[in-house]
Amino acid sequence: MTLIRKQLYVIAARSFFVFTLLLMLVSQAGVSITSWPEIKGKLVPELDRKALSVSTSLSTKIARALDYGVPLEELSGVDIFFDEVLEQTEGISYLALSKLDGTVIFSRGIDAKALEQGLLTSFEVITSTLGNPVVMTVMGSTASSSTTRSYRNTAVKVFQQEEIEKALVHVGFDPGYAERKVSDLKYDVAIVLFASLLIGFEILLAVLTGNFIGPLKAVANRIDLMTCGNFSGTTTSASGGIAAGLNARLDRIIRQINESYSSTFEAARRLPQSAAQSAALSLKSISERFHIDQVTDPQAIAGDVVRIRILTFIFMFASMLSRPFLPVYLSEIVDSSSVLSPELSSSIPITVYLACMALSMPYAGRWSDRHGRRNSYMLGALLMAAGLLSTALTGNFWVLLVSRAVEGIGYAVLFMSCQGYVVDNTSAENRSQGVATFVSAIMVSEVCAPAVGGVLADSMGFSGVLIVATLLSLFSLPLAWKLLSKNGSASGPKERSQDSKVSTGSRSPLRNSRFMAISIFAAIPAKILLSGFLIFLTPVVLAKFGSSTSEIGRFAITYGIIALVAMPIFSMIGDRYQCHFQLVIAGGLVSGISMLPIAFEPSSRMVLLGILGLGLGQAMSISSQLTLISRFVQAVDDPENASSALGIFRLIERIGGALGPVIAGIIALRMGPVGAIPILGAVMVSSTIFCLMIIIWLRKRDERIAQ
Amino acid sequence: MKLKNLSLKITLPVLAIATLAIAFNGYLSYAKFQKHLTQVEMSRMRFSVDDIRANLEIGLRLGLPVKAIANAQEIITFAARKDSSIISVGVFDHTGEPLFTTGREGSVTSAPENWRASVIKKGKTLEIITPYSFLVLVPLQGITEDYSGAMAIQYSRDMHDKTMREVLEALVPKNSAAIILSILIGALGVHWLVSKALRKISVIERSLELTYTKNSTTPATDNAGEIVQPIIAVARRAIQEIRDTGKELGQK
Repeated sequence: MTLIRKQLYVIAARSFFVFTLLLMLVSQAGVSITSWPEIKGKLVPELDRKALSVSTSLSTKIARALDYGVPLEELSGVDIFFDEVLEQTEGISYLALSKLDGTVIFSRGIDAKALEQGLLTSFEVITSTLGNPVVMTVMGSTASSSTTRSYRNTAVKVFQQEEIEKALVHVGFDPGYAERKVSDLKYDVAIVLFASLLIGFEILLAVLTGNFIGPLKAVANRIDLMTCGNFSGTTTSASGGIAAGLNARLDRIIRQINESYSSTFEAARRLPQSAAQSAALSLKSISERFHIDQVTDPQAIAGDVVRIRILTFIFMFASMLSRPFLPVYLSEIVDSSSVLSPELSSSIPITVYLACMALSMPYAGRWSDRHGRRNSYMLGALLMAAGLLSTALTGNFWVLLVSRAVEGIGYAVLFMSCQGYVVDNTSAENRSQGVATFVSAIMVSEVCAPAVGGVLADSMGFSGVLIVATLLSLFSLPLAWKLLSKNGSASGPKERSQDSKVSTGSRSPLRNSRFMAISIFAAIPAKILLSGFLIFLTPVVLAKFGSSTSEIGRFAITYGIIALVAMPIFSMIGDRYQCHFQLVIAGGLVSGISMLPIAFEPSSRMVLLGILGLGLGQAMSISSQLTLISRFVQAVDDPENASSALGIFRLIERIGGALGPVIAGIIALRMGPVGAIPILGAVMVSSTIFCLMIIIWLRKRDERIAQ
Repeated sequence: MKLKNLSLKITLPVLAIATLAIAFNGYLSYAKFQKHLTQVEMSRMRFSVDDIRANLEIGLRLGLPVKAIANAQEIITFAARKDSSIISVGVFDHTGEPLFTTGREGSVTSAPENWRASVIKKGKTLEIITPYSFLVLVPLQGITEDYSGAMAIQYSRDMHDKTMREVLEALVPKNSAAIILSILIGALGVHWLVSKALRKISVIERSLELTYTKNSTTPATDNAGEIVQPIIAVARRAIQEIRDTGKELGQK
């Protein structure tokens, strides 16, 4: 980084980011931390009321048995009854029946001796405040255990024949229960804080790029050029704003050089022909060395890929908000209006969405090339908003399918517009940097959108979140109008984006055995697993295990975080050790094997293990698959066809992605959603082994032919 | 003017996102607490509803129709008297006809129209939160395991609303203070950072002016000179070369 860049904008931009993110972090954390104790305290009286209800009810039931003449010590089935109540009533730690002197007769959820000791120490307070909670300390249940726990003990009397005091019923609440309830809120607040920091970063980046970094970067580019002796052109674009003064001064220098050059040139023209010719040659040499009298606009050259970042972020964020609950929401809608089974009915709309997205992407790319990035982005945003809104409002299965299809097409158009913008505004030298900007916006939304969606769904319902996503899509319309204004017209015969290049090429990559082996046995199963497990089965299974949408959202972002962290590491390893094929195989095996343990222990932990394995496996294989595909195609075909092959490969893997939910739905129909996970994992493992065998066989065959 | 414009352009989105984040966090705390409170309340209500239902079903399990349970009125009246948060209790037959009621009339008026289909036909428990009460509708099971009727209990929301008001009163001042402080600190901080950045730019501008236009040999300050001098040197070299060529032409 040059000194000029540091001095002009880098240090200042960093300060803006640090200051803003710190401000957001401190204010949100501060207000949350000070609110939590107060909020937690408000839950306790309601828990006490619940304890009183339970103890009164138990007392009435025991009294009825006593009324039949059963002696207190000989009451049978009390343990079983207490167990049932404990199981049904969340938050209660123990239930006990004691004599009037505190001797415990029956107790569940706590050691009788320990409770008896605890009751003895606070017995006077308990008996004098019957019906009210008393905080009581109970020693650990084992002799070796020296831990103590405090409970809120609510006791009521049991009467025989409504007047004879016979016993006491004790209901104990663990005060930590309220703490645990509030800790769920802490996770949500932490997620929102994390997401708001990422969103804040994206917005600040967009604002600073437009008003601060962008103009100063252009000035720095000019200064770099001038330092290298390039004095081509003054700023022709409106150079107001922060860099106006600097641009004016740089323009003055260039103008002075140009004027000096022009006057000398005019003087040369007045000379006799032979002298004029030699003078023209000297002047031409100066002009060429210093790029004098050439009209270029450095500000216009500095194409700004960063401006597409916020637009990519918004539409990806809107599309991923519903990820933690979509299958659950869809199953609620289709329940009443579909003739198919719930598993299949809820997977079909997701498949329709992914299929429409995959199939329309090549056309969307060409359409965006023809009609311009701004127009296509705006159309995509409108389609997406329409799809999201009607998904939120409809109650009919068929309308839902159409809505999802429209949303899928909208997504494809938006994706291709943003990708096309990156291609339009980058050259071969800085293309990967531009793509990295685009991909990082996608990854950031992958990391925070499902979590925010889950938290929002918990408080405003599924439809509410879909409406928020609709509003976000609509919000991107004016933003796209403003940000893509320079690039609003059709881009002309520029380089077309890779995904739209599926029909060109002299020799079809579909005839390339290695290409097909990787596509069919590595890429398609990986995408089936990704969409079938992560998008469809994870929300369904976690909801079945009793997780809230916030929790499902937290699970879903684990995939994004793992992929975000591990992907650059594995691509670096692949490039350094040239082990792309090994990474593809290892990735397939890791993601497949991580799905198997849930068959033995169906729990949320195992789902998390599956997500972690999937994230790791995909991080290993995604970029290596792309490298392998281009290498395989380049080895036998014209190297120019490699990008066309990549387009076909992406289409194939997206079709795999579209098939994922419906395949998972069909398996879930037979085996249940939990049973479908290891099946998908086993398919992934076996297809990866098959891929390995095919590639080894092809290698040996080639060696034989070579010999 | 430049300072004010730029400060405003950067400050407004920064403050908007910071304010929105705090407000959203406040809303989240409120909504989440309400959810947990409602869960605990509903759990308590379910427990007492199950109690009353069990008492009513003793009669039904003897083969009696709902309207023939002799102590039904006594059971619901006792339950309503025991729990002050109960507004009303109603017992219905399988057609939805009210047979026994206590407390305020019209306990199921706030229930959805098709409640019978869900409660009596499907045997599901309905829990409805209305703006005025919590309504729990449970099916009553007879001897043949079919649903012979239903019971609706309406609970008061007073305690719930009071608690939520207290939570709101606790959250609003804290969140408002955080928002106001964020706006003040944010506006001042961004303004300071912008003016610092502009100062640095103007130093470079001045350095360019001094070094080139006024032909000063001493650059303005610190790094600005390092930035400016190479450009000026190249520019002067270009001008010099042009002038030299001009001079040669003059001699010709």
